[in-house]
Amino acid sequence: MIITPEILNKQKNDFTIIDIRSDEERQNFPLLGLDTILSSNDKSINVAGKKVLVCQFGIVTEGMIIEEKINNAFSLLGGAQAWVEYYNENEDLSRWARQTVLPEIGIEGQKKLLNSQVSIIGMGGLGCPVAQSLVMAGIGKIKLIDNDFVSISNLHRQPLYSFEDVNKKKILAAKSKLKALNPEVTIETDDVFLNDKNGEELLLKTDVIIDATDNVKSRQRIDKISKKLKIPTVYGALFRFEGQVSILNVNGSAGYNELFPNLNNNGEDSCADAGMLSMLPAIIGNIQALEAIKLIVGINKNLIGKLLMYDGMSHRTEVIEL
Amino acid sequence: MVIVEIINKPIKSFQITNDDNKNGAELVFNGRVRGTEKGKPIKYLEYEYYEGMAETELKSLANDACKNFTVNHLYCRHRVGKVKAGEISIHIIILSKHRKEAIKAMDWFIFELKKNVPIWKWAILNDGEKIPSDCIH
Amino acid sequence: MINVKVKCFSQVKYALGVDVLTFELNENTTSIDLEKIIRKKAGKKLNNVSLRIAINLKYQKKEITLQDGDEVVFIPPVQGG
Repeated sequence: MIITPEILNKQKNDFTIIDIRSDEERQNFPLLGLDTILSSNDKSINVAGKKVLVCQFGIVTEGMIIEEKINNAFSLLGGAQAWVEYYNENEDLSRWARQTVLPEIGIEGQKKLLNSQVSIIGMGGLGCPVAQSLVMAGIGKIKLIDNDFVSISNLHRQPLYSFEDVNKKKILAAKSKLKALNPEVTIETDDVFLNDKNGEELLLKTDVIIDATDNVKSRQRIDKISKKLKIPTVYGALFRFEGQVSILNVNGSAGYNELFPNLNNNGEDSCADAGMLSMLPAIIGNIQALEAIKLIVGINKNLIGKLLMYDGMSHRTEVIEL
Repeated sequence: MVIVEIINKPIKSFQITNDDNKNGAELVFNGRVRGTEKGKPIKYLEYEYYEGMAETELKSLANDACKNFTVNHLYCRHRVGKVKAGEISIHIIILSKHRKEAIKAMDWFIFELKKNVPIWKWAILNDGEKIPSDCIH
Repeated sequence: MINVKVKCFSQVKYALGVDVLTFELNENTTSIDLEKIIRKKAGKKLNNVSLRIAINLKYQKKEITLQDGDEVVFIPPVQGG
């Protein structure tokens, strides 16, 4: 059983709190405001009544209670890390414990995600998995830009749309699914097709642009706005079993036009018409989402100035410098 | 705030981070094992405790001390297992605004724990026999 | 019949020679009844030893009827500090 810092704070007199951490962890992250019994053996203590076990991130104690079948015991969600944040900043971030335990993310990274805004242009095969993953990760605000309707041929690869959603506006169907995944996210929907007139205004306040479109003209348009507003774009593209991802336009790094300088926009068929299986947009869209997270949190190993090329047949992945 | 621990290893002092800067007095007590127990010379004592109850009694007493004497924090570490003469068997730190209440709280806390917390001493006599301290004549 | 566990410490352990005892008792056995059983088992060794009673990790000041699965400790004078 799990208890959050917020609830523990309200009910602390009902529990015996047992801190199973090392001396060093306790010193660096004291459980201020709580009366505790320290367990020097990294184990629970068989005290009477309800107990809360505390470790650094809330993961060890969760496993311990299950494996050792400890009665009447609760694991503090997010552990001491979440408690300290709650005590100091009155913010309970314990529900993100599986992310904040990553040293690359931590509490600080999670706060950056919660305060960020991402705009996704195109809510098709790529847009859906990107939106899902970013919403689940705790991005504070997501903007969905698409004016299309759900059609039955979308359902095989666009997981935010159910059978009942056919003929509805994609952004509305998506919004309702995404809110169910994370009720705390703010979702703004823009029922438009991005063009030179509306682009800047739509994207002005965004931290990251996700290019989930499927045609050259749109990508060129996005590139122009991305450069003008100095907002990075996470580019993703698919063709049958192959996909590409890159981060464009960071402090003057390569943009779409530098990536594909000699493209003619001949109004060619969208990539979808060539056919694909749903796993490919899911893979590529998730790599886009991962790169967006890296940009927001500030992780240096990323695809800025690089192009990732994935082949779903051989599973060969190449990352080339631009 | 109260922190208690029963530990089967040599006692290290609590490291205090006096975060709120409200405590003008920091009172430290270390109880040490003497070389005799009830008049008989001993090599070491062996402390035994009722796990699960000793910790909660200690914590409850610590809370009472804080409440009754208006001290802010009480941290107590009691050692169990073999403790040689000269080594620390109990380590207590009390933080309070002024020293008066800390001193009173310390005295009361130690007095009460000696009455109520289920921890016992066994003495190992020079011939190697181990007997409860109260059985020594 | 009820099953009760008695953990032994200090003088009780010394007198009885064991860490733990298990008893199968009649349903209405009280804590005082069990104390008498323990003292009898110890012969004379616990004659001058005052014992407090803890049931399921808590001191019991009054006599109570034992329940199946109870953990009982007869607490001789304590010596912490």
